[in-house]
Amino acid sequence: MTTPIATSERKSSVKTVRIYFMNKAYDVPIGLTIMKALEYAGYKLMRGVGCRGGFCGACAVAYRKPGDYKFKTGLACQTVVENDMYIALLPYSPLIKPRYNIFEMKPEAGYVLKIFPEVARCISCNSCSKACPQGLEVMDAVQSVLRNDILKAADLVFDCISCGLCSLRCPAEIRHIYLFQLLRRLAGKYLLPRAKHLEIRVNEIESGKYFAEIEDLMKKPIDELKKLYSERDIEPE
Amino acid sequence: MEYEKTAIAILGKIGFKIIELNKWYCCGTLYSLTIDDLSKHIGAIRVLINAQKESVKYKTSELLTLCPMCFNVLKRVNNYLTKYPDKLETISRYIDEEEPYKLGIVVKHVVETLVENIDAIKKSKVIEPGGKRIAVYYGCTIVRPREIGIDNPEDPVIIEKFLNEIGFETIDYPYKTLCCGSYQVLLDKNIVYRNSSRILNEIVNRNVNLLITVCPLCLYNLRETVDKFEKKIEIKIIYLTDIVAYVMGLRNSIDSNTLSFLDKVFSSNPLS
Amino acid sequence: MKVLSEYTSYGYPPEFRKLIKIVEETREDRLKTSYRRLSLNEREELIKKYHPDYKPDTKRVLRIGVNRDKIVYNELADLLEAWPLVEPNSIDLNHIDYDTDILIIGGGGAAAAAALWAIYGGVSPEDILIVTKLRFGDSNTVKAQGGIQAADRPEDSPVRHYLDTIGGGHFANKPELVRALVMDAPFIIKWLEELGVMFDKTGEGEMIEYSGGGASRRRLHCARDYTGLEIMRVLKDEVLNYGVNVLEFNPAIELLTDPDTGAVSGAILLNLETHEYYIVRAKVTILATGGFGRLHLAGFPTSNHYGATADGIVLAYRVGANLLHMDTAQYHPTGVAWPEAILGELITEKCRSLGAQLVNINGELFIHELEPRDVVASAIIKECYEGRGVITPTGSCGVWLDMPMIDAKRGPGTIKKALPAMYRQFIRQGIDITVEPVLTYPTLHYQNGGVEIDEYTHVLNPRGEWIKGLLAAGEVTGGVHGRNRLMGNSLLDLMVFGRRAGLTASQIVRNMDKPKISLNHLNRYMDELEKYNIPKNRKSPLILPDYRGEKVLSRFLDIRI
Repeated sequence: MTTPIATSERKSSVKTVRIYFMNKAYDVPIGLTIMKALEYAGYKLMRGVGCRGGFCGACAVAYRKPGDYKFKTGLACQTVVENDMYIALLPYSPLIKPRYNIFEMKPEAGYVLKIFPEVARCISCNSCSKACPQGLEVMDAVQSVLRNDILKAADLVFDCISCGLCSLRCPAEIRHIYLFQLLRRLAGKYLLPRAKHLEIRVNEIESGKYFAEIEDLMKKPIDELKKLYSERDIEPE
Repeated sequence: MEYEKTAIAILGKIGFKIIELNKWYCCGTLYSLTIDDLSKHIGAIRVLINAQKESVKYKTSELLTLCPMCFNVLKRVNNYLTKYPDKLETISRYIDEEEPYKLGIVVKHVVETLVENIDAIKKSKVIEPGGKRIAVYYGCTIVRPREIGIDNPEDPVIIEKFLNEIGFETIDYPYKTLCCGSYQVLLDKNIVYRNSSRILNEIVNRNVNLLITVCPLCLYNLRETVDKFEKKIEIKIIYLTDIVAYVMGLRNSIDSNTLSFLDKVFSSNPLS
Repeated sequence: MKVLSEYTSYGYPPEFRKLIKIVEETREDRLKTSYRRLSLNEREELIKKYHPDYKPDTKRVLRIGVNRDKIVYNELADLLEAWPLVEPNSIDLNHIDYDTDILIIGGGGAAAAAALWAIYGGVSPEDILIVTKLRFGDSNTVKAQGGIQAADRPEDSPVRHYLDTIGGGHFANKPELVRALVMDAPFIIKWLEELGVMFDKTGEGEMIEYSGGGASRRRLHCARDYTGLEIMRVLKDEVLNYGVNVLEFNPAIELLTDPDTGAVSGAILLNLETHEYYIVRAKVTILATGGFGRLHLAGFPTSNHYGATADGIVLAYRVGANLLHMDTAQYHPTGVAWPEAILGELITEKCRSLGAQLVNINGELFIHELEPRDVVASAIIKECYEGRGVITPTGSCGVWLDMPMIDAKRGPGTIKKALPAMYRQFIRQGIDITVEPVLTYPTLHYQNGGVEIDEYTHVLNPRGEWIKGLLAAGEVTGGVHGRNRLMGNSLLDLMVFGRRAGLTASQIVRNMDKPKISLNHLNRYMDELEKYNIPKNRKSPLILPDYRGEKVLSRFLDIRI
């Protein structure tokens, strides 16, 4: 039961480019992402696929092109194929998640360094930022930790999709994805101000407010509901 | 925090605007002793590059440091790259697509800035030191090596002269440039206690109870040693900027402990 | 933000330039106007004429199982009227590989929430097993961008939220489920805040809340446009901190039932890498398997993740679960229509909340942007059908979503701050959404219906009785959203019912003996399949969609190496 929405099927007279996947050459139509190109070439992917939209970091790839020594990175689901790309799929970075209890921690560098002491080894080489497919300032986030600015670090790496490419390239062997997850949670929990209106509403609900009103709505016949619905006022955006 | 607050307050009062670099990197703490260790210095070089970026915006190329170790590393790296343009080229190629360092940043220590502006500081005084006796401890990294030191490494007098002009009497003692023990506080505290107690002994024996320093690590080591001394000694160790801020009346910038101590000192009779 | 200049920029083809100009020229006038809201009757008319649910030949009558004679989408019927992947006689049930209290099938937001609340309810983390077909966290949850609804502002109330939800659902929602959804909502947000989710807030801590389609108040809480990702990764982190057992790349391919009581008592897993099967015995099984986008209903592209193949529906149906509203699907109005590389990916409704307008080829408005999703989707399809859409070089059709209006209305820099994910997604394809509009067309997005549950997440059969041992939460369930879900109610659904599933499970396992296991429930099912001559090569669950090129498949040799 195949459901090929790979739109490569639609136009058969389309131009192709040659890509090399794990050193094997394939001619694939232009305009496809690396992921779709591989599927076109016959790969049914299991590792190295996830959300297909650039959010989950499952499909990290590295590639080079002839005549250029530069090591380039990207996401297979977002990167469009180019001629002569030599591609490797990097679906996993060997990083072990440390276990901690965030309720017993403070948003301070000392607590972070206890779990991730290797962060102090950062030599500011910037290999991490260069590897990041999201274009984040990874090194600045690591350095911000060293000077105890947890909120800034969390802000810098908010858009991180945990692909692990930075950790693969880091000479100091820092475990960025888990470091950044901890930083964001510390920032969200301790450094951002709590929403007071939220607390008030939760208490109101717990004390039984709205209960009767909703019971009432639940019992109303459909025509009355429709009327109420059509007549409700809508807040302007 | 004490050091930064008082320094910024003092300089603010005499007309300087101090802008913190929006991004900075660990300077590396120590200048690498190998002949060619560019990659170890990348942190420091990035600081210089960042200063360079901000210098365009704020129209100044002076990079102010408070910590002598940062001053030491940054100034030496800066000098090295100026002296060896091929090394500057190497590191610029290494960092690749990023903006390279084009030289031109001047690394300064807050002592230099204060000394250069002595007149303005004197004018802003609201308290007369009245010849109070204090000691000055220089430590190592602000005066050694000779090429970057703010004064003669064997017998520096720059801070004492500055304080004399303001109205303090400074005592001379043999250990003002003896190493306090520095980062050995992490590995072997006894080295720190040994060195720092020698320094403190000399000062205590000369009946002085106020010691001025300019380095956060020296301050930490000396204060730790006071606690560990064989007998109870009455000596307070503070930053240069603490005392200058005090005589300039910038009370809000001074840490409360230091402030109450200085109040006591200046309310009692001189010569203590 | 660093612009990713190393990516190839195809951008818009030259012939689009003059079309874009029309959008730019009409922008000034459109900034102050919007299309009027439609009445309930007008909405129904529009939907009946243009919504893909009403497209002929997309559905058929189900012949097999407890919902026989109900109408469902063809692709779903294909999966429900299909043989199990395993031959029951060849499975050795005597050796149990994993013996656990709670088995959670699925790896998304609902699964993580269920695990955490089971722990808070007193279950030891070692007695919980999460199994998932890809990695833990690979789910539709991470692709949710716009936000999570909760009525926590003084100007708002859960009662309004209730009315919005039930109206958007065409009044087909189960009232007690909607009540649970809206009354639990503020508590859920508070819980997430305490775990460390970085919601967008003002400097004083007030939540920044947007309006969504069909909502009468601003109540969408977001974390830039990575809301789902942020929530998922915090929950995943906490689940792993507790040391819950997780088996990745191990989808469940069949449920197990107790031969004496008929209760669900675990599942058979398939290790996707070694093709071994594992037998899991569990006192309670929680289905949190998500949606069905990768079935490409009605031939639509989808915004879903790779593993959204309705596995949970199949598994539950075989043990007799009642399926609600499987003749409807939510087509998100704004999916990417150009370029092909990201066809079908989601363009978040938040764009419309921020002020971007939908515009046809002539630069005209044709629908109020914040009507419920089925209404807007139908309106877009109508524009294209009646020739007022833009045709792309690859034959797709779309209308414009005028993105630059957001910065015009809310100040420069808004797009990059509030929509970094979308900005990245398009700049990688050579399109800068701060200055260019994007082409959009509906995309298959959400499974409105699903397995019927009560407010404690007990899975029900058509007679309203609980199928013992089976709970369900999240997109796989039906009745919460009626026939059309509102924006921001899905992330809320996962949390509210994931929590309820975890708590319910923790109470059930307390004084329960270990159940027995069998595949007896398949016997009756297979008899029916035989009766209707269902071809033996039609099997389900699907597990993963197949996108291999036709050229390759035509030369495919099925040889074991």
